Amino acid sequence: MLLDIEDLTIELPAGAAARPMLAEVSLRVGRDEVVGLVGESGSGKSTTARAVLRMLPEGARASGSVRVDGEDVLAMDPARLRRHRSRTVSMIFQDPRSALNPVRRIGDFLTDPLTRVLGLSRRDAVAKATELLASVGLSEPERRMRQRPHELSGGMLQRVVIAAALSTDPDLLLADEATSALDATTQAEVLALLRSIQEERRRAGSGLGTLFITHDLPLAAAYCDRVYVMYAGRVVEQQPAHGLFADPKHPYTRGLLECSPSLGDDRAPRPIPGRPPSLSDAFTGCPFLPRCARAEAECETWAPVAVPFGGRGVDGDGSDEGGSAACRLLELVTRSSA
Amino acid sequence: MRTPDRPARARRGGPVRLARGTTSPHPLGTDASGQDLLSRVLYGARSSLLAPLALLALAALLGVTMGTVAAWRGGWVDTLLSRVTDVMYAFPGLLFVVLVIAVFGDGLTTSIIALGLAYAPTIARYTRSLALAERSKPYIDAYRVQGMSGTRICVRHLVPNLAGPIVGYLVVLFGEGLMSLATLSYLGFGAGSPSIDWGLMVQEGQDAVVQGALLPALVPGTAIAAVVVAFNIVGVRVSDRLGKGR
Repeated sequence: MLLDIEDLTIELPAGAAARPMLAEVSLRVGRDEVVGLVGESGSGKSTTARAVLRMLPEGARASGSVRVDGEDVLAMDPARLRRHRSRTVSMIFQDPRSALNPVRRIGDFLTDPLTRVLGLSRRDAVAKATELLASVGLSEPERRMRQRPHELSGGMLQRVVIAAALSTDPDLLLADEATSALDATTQAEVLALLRSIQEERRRAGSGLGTLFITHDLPLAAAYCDRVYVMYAGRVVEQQPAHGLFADPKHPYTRGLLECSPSLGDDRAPRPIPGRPPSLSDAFTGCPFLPRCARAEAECETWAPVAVPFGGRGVDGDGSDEGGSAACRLLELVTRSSA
Repeated sequence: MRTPDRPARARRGGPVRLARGTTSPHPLGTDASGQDLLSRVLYGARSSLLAPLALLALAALLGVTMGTVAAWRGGWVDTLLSRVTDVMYAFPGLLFVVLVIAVFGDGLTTSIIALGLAYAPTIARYTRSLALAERSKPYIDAYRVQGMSGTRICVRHLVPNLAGPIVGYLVVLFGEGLMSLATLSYLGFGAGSPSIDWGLMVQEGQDAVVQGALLPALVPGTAIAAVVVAFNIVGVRVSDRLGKGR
């Protein structure tokens, strides 16, 4: 397994928050796999992705393990960690415009990791960077190399960021809302680009794993192989994408799907009542309880655990049909059927 | 340098007769030793304008380093550096400088180093506030995600991006530095005779003021005032331009 997060809990120093930022998050990404991570703002998606690079919030304490290729990121020494960040994992950001140093040329941004990490000569680095820009579909790559970020559009800049992310041949790509700030057509182009890169790497035999973070559940369900849904710092449901669309198990997942209107359906979109919990809200039972339409009195004291359903459960690989959801009602069903 | 007269050519005679008003060979008059004031002011510009530059270079090096390290490392490093800065801030600058000079002896070099140390906290504090804002920008995160070391991010990207507002601030500080150095020479701690320095010239000229000859003190005094005002005006413009450009 390329990325294996197990029971990751991230706690802020006492007094800063009433509950952990992440609570017992377990998540897996295999080679050649695109895994979606979905949730409202503040649900812990970005924190999870940043934990893979050990970019923890200031003063935070992490327990559990984050293994990339079997090595625990949380236990790396600083030199190993820098190598891990520069070689093994790359990240694509939501807003490419703010992710680039505004006063540096595009070329500098691309050649820097090439000379620093791969040890290429300046000339080779420029050649490789130009090649990378062409491969992500930018026109006139030579001219782009000399331009500065403000001269390019958002979609072009996101391609630059993707090119930079791929420049050191990483094994794992973290796409944090990589397409959320782009308009619909550009979003489609960027998604197609990411798909084709994935395909290319699969054919080359060095599979690339992608963790695709988005707040758009239908997009994740359509684009990813498997989807994790997060709520209040917990994974509330995970299963293969098509299953998630057809048969969501957790009331929150169902709520998210009903939030978005669809063609050929006269129903008005139904928002989930209430608001997402903040870090100052603590829970005694299920965190989704106050917004859940099917809540029962026992939910108030039920400590959430992932309840497996279908297939072979959470332990399988990407082709596995099974999933899990953290809902007490599901637990009752499985227990009664067993 | 071309000046109407050699700046150090004295003439014979008592001070009253020699400190003369404007005459055609001496458009700004002469001082108590009969030396041409215009020539002396022009020569004095050398040390009076270069010394603040050296002072600012030293102060900027120290201040920017301290401010950036404090902002980048945070935690106890920040607390320590900020407290040191606060102490320096609370301590009267001139008193500190006089203390340093009392220990290490007077002279231009000592006053430049002492003032450089006295100015560093101001620059450190300003840099820290700028660096804190810049550090939280996503592009810095993007470099960290690429596995770039903190030192490299600071030296290659963070500090260069702060250069605009810092340079603007330094231009304003230049006038202040010139003032302080002139004050020190006037008090006799800085450049001493026979070197030619505006502050020193004011001090040398003040005896003649009592005897009715204003020019020997007025001319270098005006030069100091003009440069300080000019740098303040330019400095405010420059910091406006560079600070808000991005």
